[in-house]
Amino acid sequence: MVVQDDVYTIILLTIILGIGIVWVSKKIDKLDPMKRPTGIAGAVILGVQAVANTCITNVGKNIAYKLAPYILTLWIYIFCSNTCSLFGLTSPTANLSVTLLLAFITWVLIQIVEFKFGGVKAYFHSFIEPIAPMLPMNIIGKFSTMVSMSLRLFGNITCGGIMMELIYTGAQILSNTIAGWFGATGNVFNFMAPILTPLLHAYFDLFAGFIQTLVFVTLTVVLMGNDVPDEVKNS
Amino acid sequence: METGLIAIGKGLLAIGAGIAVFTGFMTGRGEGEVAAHACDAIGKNPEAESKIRSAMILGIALAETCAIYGLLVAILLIFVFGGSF
Repeated sequence: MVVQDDVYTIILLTIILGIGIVWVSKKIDKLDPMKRPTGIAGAVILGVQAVANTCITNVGKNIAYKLAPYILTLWIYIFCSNTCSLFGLTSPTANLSVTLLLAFITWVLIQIVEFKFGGVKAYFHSFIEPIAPMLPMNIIGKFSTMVSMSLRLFGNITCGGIMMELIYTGAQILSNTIAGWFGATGNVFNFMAPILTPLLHAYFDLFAGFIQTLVFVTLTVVLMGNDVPDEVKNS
Repeated sequence: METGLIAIGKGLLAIGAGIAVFTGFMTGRGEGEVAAHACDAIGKNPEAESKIRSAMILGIALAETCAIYGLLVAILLIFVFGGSF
């Protein structure tokens, strides 16, 4: 049985993020309540406030207190996984199983909110909504968000990685040709790569990784908030 | 170089991959229209800029999904299916 590279990256990410979060929480415990927080503790507090505000405006205060920790974990995990390939590790979100599981958790959350605020009878009646022969289309429509969210994240990260690999191979061939003019043969050190690739790394790894986490997390929160009635949201 | 049926098979595979990427055809025009409407909205209401900008980024990333599906199918055809024969 062959172990894929993603498993080692997941274990390494879990250990490093766990140690980092415990260290930051110890710094926050020692804060003085009378002064403004600065440094890493201040940045973390700003991040937590931003996530809590997004959850409260979409889902209402009661549910947001239970939901916001999960949303913050999702943010940190997906962002660190997407930008992992800058350090030479294989990114876990480049594996369809990982993204399918994350989208499945989102789908379960949306169904729970639908059951709780709409009732079981209305949920099963919505399968036959306009007319009875629409049953297959409604079944497919229930699963469409889960499939599209997982494929969007997987497609962006995997295709970015393959395009970077193509450019590295092209830079290697260019280096071999240029070194061949000076008499070297065989494979030389890939000196054209640090000239051609930094901008593309900044786009594919940092920018696309950030945008895809923003889209995934915002879609989760907004689709959950769709079924919450207005008086619960504003209480 | 292979000859015969394997060569014809690989050639058809390449044509199929080229047709698959064509789903990203109108992505540029669609995203440009999103950005144009966002610029109009900022021009009429300059103090709501950050809300308009975050809605625009969300809309652009969602409209990009169709192009990514096409790219994924083409890469699967060339690297996974084409490498297995």
